[in-house]
Amino acid sequence: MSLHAVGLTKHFPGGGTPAVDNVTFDAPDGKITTLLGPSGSGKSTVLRLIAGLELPDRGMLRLGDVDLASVAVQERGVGFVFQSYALFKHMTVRENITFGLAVRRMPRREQADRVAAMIELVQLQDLADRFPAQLSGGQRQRVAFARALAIEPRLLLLDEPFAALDARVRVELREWLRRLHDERHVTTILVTHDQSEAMELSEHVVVMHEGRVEQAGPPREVYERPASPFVASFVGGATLLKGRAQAGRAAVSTFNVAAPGAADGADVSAYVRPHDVRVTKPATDPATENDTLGVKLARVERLTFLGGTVKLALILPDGAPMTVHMPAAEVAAHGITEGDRVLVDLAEAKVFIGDYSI
Amino acid sequence: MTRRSLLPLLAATFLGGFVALPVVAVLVTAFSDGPAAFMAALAAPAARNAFRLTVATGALVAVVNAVAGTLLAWVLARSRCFGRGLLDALIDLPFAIPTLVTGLMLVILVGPQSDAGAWLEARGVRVLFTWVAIVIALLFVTLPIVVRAVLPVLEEIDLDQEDAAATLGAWPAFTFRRVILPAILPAVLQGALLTFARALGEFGAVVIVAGNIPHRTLTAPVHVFGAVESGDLVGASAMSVVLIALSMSLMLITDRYRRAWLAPRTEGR
Repeated sequence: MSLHAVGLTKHFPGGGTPAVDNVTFDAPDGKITTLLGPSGSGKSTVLRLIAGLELPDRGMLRLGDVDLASVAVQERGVGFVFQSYALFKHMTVRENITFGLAVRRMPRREQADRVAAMIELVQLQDLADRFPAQLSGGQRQRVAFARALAIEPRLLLLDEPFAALDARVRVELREWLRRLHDERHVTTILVTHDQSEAMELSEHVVVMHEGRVEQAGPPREVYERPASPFVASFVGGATLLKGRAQAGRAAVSTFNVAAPGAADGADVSAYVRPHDVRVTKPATDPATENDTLGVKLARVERLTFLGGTVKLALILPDGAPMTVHMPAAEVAAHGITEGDRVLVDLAEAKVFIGDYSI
Repeated sequence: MTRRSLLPLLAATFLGGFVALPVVAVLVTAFSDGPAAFMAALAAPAARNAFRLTVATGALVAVVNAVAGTLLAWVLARSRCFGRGLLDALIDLPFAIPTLVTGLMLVILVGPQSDAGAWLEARGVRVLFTWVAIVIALLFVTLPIVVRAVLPVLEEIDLDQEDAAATLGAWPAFTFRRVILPAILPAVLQGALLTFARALGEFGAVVIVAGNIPHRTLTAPVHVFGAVESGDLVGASAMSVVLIALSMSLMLITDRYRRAWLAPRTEGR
């Protein structure tokens, strides 16, 4: 069932600016929608508003055809998975998963069948009679999923569900969730600060910043056509270079980029993604530390191997730092090592005109 | 002898001298005239009535304070209100006040010369020198026990658990019964049993308000006191042995029960 949020606003007592400020977005039926943003961007509050755990000061929520304003949290039929798992500590895995069914007074036989199916779904058959304290983090989170799914929710809400897990388990559970979703197609809203999680899991991304929606769209569109400087820097981890416009172009750091429509002298911000940079190793003139044609060179401060790619921390000729990702094979082919002088070319930059503060 | 083995030896001597030895002395005295005399001392109607009164009032107080203490702990754990600090301090007051003073306060409050006492007296209700006064004194003296047992457990319960229960469709009453109560029940029971054990031995607060009428308002500890006063050390010791045995076995049972319950639920934390 699709969810529509219109103009959601929420102030907390004592907080000056609203935690959630006029937030409007759609979560399409049967899809995973991600609320992506840094901590404090209001995304978890939006999730709690949807669940009914908080009440909005203003705005409207509609689930399918139903206005949620007069529907209590208990009656919304949403499954909520908490970052802290929030399992009932004194109940076994089986009792935890049964809880929502017992509330609904489902006949015991049906309860047992449903719970057995859920336990199988999350592959915890051998641990059904354990207490949460006897499980690993990944297992606990699977119990939390099973408990939320057992009530056959109309909407599944996931609040940073993988944040407390170690890296390997996180990747495994992410893939498991993807498969689970492909089988069941429960409309899902996922809150995360991890853009790779958003890219991998969701069909629809809503980027949030300081309580507001910055951009909403398919992950690829958000990545390739960021609507604001914040999105450009947050999604993709771009380096910000600043400069001034002159005749439709701008010199930012030591690069020259197109700045169409910019008035002469206007501030220009260029965001450069780590993958959108070409680094080559020219012949260096040892006297000037420039290349043999006199072009100024950047310096490789540090190389970090991330497996297939290498992260290069560069210092540009004007002293600005820049992060670049390159295939490990390419780095090896060029023979680039720490301390080298290198030539830097921009394949692409996202250019914003005007004075932005992010 | 190395320094490492000196400290445990010291501790053992201290525990033995100050704790075990007096208990042994009471045990030996209780049976000094043989098991028959021990049984006879307990079988005397005055002793039996005193013991019965003590167990009955203690049990009532344990039940009442289990409920009241849990509610107080709940208010303290969940309210962020202005008076919380004051309330918190007030709860411990009964521990800070000498129990004899507690008794005195009750005499002043509900004695026939007070307004409240006179008002009750006019309606034919007598509090002072009845079992009701004993219960009130014990309720006051043991009030902090359940609160202090339950409060830390309540504060430790993740608020997310209540939110999770709500999203699963549970209204607050259901959540309290199925999520909160099972989590705090061991602490409530432990607090109640400690309250009972404490009530068994209370002397100071009771002796002033009870009137100490044999067979009616004379409690077991006051009975022990009377026996000592009249030189009946065997009788005093016999009752003491029963009180010690009862309260020690209760504490052992609670402790074992709580550990067995807690172990699988907190593993690896």
